[in-house]
Amino acid sequence: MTSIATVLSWKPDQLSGVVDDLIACRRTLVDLQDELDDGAPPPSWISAAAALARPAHQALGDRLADAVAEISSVLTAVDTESQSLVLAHRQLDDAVAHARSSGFSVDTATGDVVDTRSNDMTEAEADDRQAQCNEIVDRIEQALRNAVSADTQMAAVLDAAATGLDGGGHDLSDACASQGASDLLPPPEGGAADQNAWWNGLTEAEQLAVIADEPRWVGNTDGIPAWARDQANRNLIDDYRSELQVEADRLQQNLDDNLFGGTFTNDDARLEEVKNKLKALDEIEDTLAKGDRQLLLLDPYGGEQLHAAVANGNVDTADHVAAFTPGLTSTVQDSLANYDANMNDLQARSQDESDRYGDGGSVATVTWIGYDAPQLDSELLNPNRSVASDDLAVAGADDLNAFYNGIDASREVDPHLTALGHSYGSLTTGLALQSQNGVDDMVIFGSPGLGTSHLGDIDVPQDHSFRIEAKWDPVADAGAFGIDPSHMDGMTGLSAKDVDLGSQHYDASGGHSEYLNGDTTSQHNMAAVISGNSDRLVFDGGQGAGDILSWPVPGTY
Amino acid sequence: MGDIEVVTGELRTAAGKMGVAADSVGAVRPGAVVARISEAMPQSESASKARRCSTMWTRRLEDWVTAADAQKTRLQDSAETYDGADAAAHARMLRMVRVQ
Repeated sequence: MTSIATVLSWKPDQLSGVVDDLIACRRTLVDLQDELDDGAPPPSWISAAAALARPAHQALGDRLADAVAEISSVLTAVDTESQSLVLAHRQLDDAVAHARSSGFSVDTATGDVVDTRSNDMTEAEADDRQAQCNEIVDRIEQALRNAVSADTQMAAVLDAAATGLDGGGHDLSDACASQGASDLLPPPEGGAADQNAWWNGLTEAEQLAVIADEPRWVGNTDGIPAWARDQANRNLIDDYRSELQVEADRLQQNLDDNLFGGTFTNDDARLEEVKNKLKALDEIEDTLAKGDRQLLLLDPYGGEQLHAAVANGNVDTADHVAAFTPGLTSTVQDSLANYDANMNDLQARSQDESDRYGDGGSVATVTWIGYDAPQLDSELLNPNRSVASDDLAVAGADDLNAFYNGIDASREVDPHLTALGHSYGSLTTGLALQSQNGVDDMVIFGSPGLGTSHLGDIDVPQDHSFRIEAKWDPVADAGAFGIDPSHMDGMTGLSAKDVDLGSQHYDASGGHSEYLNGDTTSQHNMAAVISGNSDRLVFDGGQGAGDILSWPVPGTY
Repeated sequence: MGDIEVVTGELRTAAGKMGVAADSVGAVRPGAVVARISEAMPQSESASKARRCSTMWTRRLEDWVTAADAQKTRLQDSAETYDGADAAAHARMLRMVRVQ
């Protein structure tokens, strides 16, 4: 295993001089084409000696072309890999410097990272330090992988050039054609930090090549910058549509050929599923056409529904980012347009709060439909997909957690990140937040529970967990997955009632589905949280009749 | 007579061009350039491969120069052989004319 010290001893910037000098060597050889052509045995020369001289001249031309091809392949590889090596060297240097300035020692021979501040910490602090340590280790390992990968690829080209390449004849210019260009390696296994380090280890040209040629590598990869995910996923829309259409045609053909239709097969249900996914792609394209959107997730194969996430604004640069997870009956094909409009409105409201009362930072919002939300159809009878079960939320929680972490990992500076969860989506949100994440604020509304009865299980800073409950919302009192969040210690209640704030009037929201409506107090409260304006919050610690009915019995949770 | 003049001229031109090519290739040192990779990346896989590449390139180009010089000589020798044969034929013709 190549050590940190070894990689840090490399001087990849010196390789540019090697490239320049190899180019000069190659130019000298290629410029000899005229001499080679004019040095050919004349056709008028006919003798036994001429019969020997002609193949000898041909061989000289071929061998010179081989030499040109070998030099070309090496200089191309050195040029490409030296850029990767410079990046990897810098990543490693930065990671080690960051570790040391953060109180971790790094053994550059063994790679061991040790916390030098491990005394007198609470459990939570220790967990945070461990998470920080893990991230540093990830970054160091990825930088080493990037460096070793570049070294390995360059070594392979050098080896091939030493063994000998075929220049393809005696035309020296043709032999210059790029040879031995390195094959890009796909993203490594690992978390968002690993993916980000891999991405940052690519040259700009390599990044663009990945987006164009291998968009599936990065479109849904947490830790990759939003701009790249967006471009990759947009590139994939037509591909996915073609693939799904082929599948739809196949299923339709099966049904047409089957005397009993779909009675004894699952083809009719599968066809309906595929048609819904095609409709979802149309919905996504319509949404993207509105402009200022980023397609951060596009996955037609991860579930029975197509999964997608669409941002309003720029997640790479926004100072405040909010990710919204909807709940029951949500699908891309039927819900994205409405939720995207809600998030667009919420982004504008939050931006206004930021500009007028906050730090003036920019805002981006995201609609995350990255899981199969329960549906009010035949799935009600399926214990694994029913709204009464937490199975679908559990299945989506890991992906949502990775999505949160990916936003932080993809940026040099973490944004102020808010998790929004509605209805069953708040359960998915609550479960996702029970693992380490970069979320700074949580707002749940119309929540049937967070998958826990204790706010301490939620990894969000103290006093930054908010719930909103509107009048006549029975779901918010269900307490179906852990106790009713209204009764959780440490949970802050925000208002959904009629409120006058300064000269501005905000409407009440009622029932289960009006929380995101424009000009409501609930929407205002979300905007205040997203923009970091705690002094603009409208609190409501009170509890309605439903909350009294859902009051948990002490000692039972 | 005329044909021989053309051939010998072309052979000498070709020989001259091959001589230029041999000299130019002999002056190029890609082997030395590629060896610098091992200095920039000590203890790397590329370092050892670069040293091998350096050795092979240097050897192959030296062989090329040797072969190109041999080709040049072959062309020159043929031109001289043609000239020698032409001179001998001319002498034979003169003797025949005197006898008649």
